[in-house]
Amino acid sequence: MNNLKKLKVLLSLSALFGLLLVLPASPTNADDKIKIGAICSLSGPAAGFGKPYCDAFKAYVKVWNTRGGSKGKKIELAILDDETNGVTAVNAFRRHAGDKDIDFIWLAISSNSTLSVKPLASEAKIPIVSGGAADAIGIPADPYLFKVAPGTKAFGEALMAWAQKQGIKSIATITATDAYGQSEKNNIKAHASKFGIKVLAQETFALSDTNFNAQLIRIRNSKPDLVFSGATGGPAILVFKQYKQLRLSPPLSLSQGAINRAFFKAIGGPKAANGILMATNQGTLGSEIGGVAGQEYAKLEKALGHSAMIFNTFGWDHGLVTEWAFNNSDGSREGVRAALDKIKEIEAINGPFNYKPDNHIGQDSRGLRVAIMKGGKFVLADKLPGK
Amino acid sequence: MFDFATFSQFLLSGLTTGCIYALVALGFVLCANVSGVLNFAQGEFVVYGGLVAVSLIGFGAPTLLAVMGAVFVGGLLGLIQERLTLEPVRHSPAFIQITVTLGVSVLLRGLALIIWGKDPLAMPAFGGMDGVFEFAGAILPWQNLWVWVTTALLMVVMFWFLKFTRAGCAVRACSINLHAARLMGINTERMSTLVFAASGALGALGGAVIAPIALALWSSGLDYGLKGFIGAVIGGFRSPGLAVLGGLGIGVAELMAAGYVSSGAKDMIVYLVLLIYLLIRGGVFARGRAALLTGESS
Repeated sequence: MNNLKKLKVLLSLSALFGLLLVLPASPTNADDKIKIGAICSLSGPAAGFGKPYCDAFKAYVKVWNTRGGSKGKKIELAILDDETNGVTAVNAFRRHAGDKDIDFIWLAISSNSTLSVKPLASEAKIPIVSGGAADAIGIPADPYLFKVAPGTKAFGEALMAWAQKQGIKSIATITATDAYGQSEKNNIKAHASKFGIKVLAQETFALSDTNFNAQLIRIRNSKPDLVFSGATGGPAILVFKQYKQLRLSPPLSLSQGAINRAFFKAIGGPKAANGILMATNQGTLGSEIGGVAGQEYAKLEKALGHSAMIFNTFGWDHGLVTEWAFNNSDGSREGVRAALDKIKEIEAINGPFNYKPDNHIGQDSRGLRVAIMKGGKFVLADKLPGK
Repeated sequence: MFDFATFSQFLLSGLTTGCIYALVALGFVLCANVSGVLNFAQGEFVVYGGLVAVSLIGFGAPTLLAVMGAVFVGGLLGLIQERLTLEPVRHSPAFIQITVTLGVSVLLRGLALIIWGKDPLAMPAFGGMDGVFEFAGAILPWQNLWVWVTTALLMVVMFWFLKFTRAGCAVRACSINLHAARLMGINTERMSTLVFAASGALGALGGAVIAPIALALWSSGLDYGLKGFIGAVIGGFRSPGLAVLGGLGIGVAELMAAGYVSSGAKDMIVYLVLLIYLLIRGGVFARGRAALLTGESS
């Protein structure tokens, strides 16, 4: 009997010791909360989209908590600014990833900065959901990094497919010399070829440029049927203004990265952009979408307290996939990561999400439309402006 | 085939940007010649000029008052920079003084970000002239005229000041020989403060007139400063007139390079021009070696 008792005590102590050994290897926030570390571009050239992303993060977390959080755990958000700087982004990531209370990371930073963080994702072993347009974020897939904004390839595909239907035969582009700009440039070229559209000119600019006359004149002289501008931030405003001043006649398609409040304020309001085309996530079209996407959009607008911009909708979609992953896992970093990898057809504002172990892009061209600015608002584009 | 309209567009548009580089280059030369310091905060004065002007217009000030306010703030910044950061290190080695100006540049950038935020700010064209005009085949915003006229007037005023006023003669004396100027009774410290204030005001005026074309943004100072510096280098860092020509030349060169060579090669070509110029001036074709400069103004 005594031996049996001793054995029971020994077994209990061994189990306890084993538990103590195991626990540190799978860090979880043992508190009654889930802490999400967000890194947003709140300053610098990418702040035009980083801030609306971040606003949506806060809105989603607020609504998530009113639903009781995830399995009774409240959600807490800690935000850092990467200042649109890859080095600062990496430092911010290390800070969040090194914080054992943080269970998940959201990135709302430029593609360049996300690609700086990507090599560290598996080292830190913390699941990350990231915006950013570059396909390289999701392919090749890092086990811990998941993308929510659509890849540039899908946009180029959607725009070229639409252009082909409109009878467009040639295109010219103007893009930045950074990774995002080059990705846009190559993507348009690849899809233009696929749809039988000739690329007549591909001009580039540095992010600090303010005079785009040379690039636009070269584009004008090439006489394309359609012009695509991949500029964002200050360059987007100046390219648009100088395009109008130089009286270039081909329809102009902007990257959706260009469209934000600062852009409209600088050009004199949304109506000044009438006729502008944009391949965009259906989230841009707001109530026109309908279905589950439309319902989520309505929830987003209510949570924000004002009309939502496209980058707000991406931020909201971050929340949707994250909440699904926490609700369908044990809440540990590894558990949530594994849940994300299994996501199939999860509805979101900007189309359904699907992740595979070799593809973490998430969304595809099913969630994309070409829109045109009419009366200060983006609506579905059924034909070229002026036709 | 040569297209005159295209050439005109590049030339005249490049001249507009070059005007701002010219004002920055002028500021560099004035400061360097009188105080012996390369002021790398020069570009930030342009930024502050634009941002202050936009803000004042936002508060309802008429354009003229907004521009004057911007010039005043630019001058004040230059004066404060000289009094608070350079005067204490006046007798330190040149590299320390230059490092101080770099620090001021970073500080001003950070302050601009905090005060005005990260978004570029648009300014209405002067006189409500938002449209465009055609000249020699080029299509240009009316604001370009304001930039050209303002720059030309400033050059005339600067020439008159340096040539025909006592203070201007004193500035020139300092740039020729600082010690001799001091011996002749010129208060060289006061002259240094004067040129820093003047260069701040010049830069700010440039920022205010270019803002309707190029927007006002907290981070633009680095580019203006660098291109203005190149203009000053090409101008030999001696003559204000040559510095202005250097700045104008850089503005035109970058548009021509982007237009006729490749938009991606624009900066490469500008810096290549600088490199070739420095190699030639620095003595690639010269015999012997020049004595090492000690950093004193001479």
